[in-house]
Amino acid sequence: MVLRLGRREGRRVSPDEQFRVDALAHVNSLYGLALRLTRNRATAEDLVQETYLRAFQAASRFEPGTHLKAWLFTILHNVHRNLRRSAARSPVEVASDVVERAEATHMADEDPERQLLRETLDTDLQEALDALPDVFRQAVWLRDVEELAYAEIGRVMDVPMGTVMSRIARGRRMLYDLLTRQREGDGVTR
Amino acid sequence: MSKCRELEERLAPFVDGELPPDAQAEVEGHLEKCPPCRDTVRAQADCRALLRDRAARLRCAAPDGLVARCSALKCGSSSARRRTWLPATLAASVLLTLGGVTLYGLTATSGRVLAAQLALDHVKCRTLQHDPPAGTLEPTEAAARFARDYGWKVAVPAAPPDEDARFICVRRCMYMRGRVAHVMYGVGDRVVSLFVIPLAESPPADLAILGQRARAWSDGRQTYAIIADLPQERVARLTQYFSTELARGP
Repeated sequence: MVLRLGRREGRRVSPDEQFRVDALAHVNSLYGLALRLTRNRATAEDLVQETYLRAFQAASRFEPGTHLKAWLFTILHNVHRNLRRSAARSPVEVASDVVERAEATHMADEDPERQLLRETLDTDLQEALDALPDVFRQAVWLRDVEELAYAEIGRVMDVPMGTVMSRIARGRRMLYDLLTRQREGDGVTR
Repeated sequence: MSKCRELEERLAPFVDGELPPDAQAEVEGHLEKCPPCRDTVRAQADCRALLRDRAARLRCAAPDGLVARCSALKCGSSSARRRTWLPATLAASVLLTLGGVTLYGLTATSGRVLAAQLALDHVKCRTLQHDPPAGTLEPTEAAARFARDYGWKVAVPAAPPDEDARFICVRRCMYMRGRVAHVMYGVGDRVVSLFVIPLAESPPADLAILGQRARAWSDGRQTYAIIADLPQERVARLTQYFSTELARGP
């Protein structure tokens, strides 16, 4: 019911209410990112709920006219990062640093046919995305699925532009290599 | 080759049209004479195209329950806004209070402070969950999943075998920076929370707080707390049961 309160219904809606409606319209995007970050439905739901709690509480700090979805992503990113930082252990975080360094020196030299990606199955794509280290998965997701600008991604992830560029580049490269390998492995390893 | 390395970082923004015109032209010039970089650009473009093409299907819809819970959250009232923040809802007040005491609680020796925080979290979870369903997992499966997701082995006791009790779920508490495991049970129509906190020292506490009964104890390795809206004797019985179960280890 709340979600149906639209801008154009001609009724007076308080700024808070309008903000709520506008913010809630992004629930699928937030859930999608949360799911990609956590790879766990229950945790993703917690993350989204916590994001809305904080967003609604900080509603007055949102500057109207700026990109609401990117602002919500920033909150979600921070909640997630704080949890990860303080978790007893965070093996994936460590792994991603290692991969980041390793990938810096890695330039794949195979030249697979272009058809490959067109023939990728959704499930394989999901699997490959989930296999990416967090920071690369998030950068690629924000860019290619959510279509945020580089500067917005930098603000969401709180990193400089150069890092955004390299994370997107390496994330896509890794994804490409994974999909290529997945296909080459089809019928052999699976 | 050094040119390739120099331009490497720009190939993704090149594909995305995020480079200033002169840099864009410089990359174009280089690509004309460098097949390896052309391949890199092609891989970038293919990935981008694939993800955009599948975006709608990748972004799965948020579950109805989540949408309902988020829709039930409120913004601070307009008068609260002027004062920066003032809780307009229970959830908001829980968040606010926890924000103030959370960090203190983990290092404090005060059982009361700890109990207050946990009671708040218990109330928040119970409120936000709206009639939490019985879990679909057995406690042992839930514990294994928790260990896999968070790298933290937490003993999740079975529901007390007495009247109408069932295991609901184990989740990582979003407050206290995620260092608390929150196990929920349904006992009759009430929710009972068992918290497991990696804090070795905490004096025992047995108190009424925020309309809840709270009992906390420590086994020298971890601290546990039970919070429930149940009479003192009932909570004492539950404490007896859980402390015995937990002493057996995971």
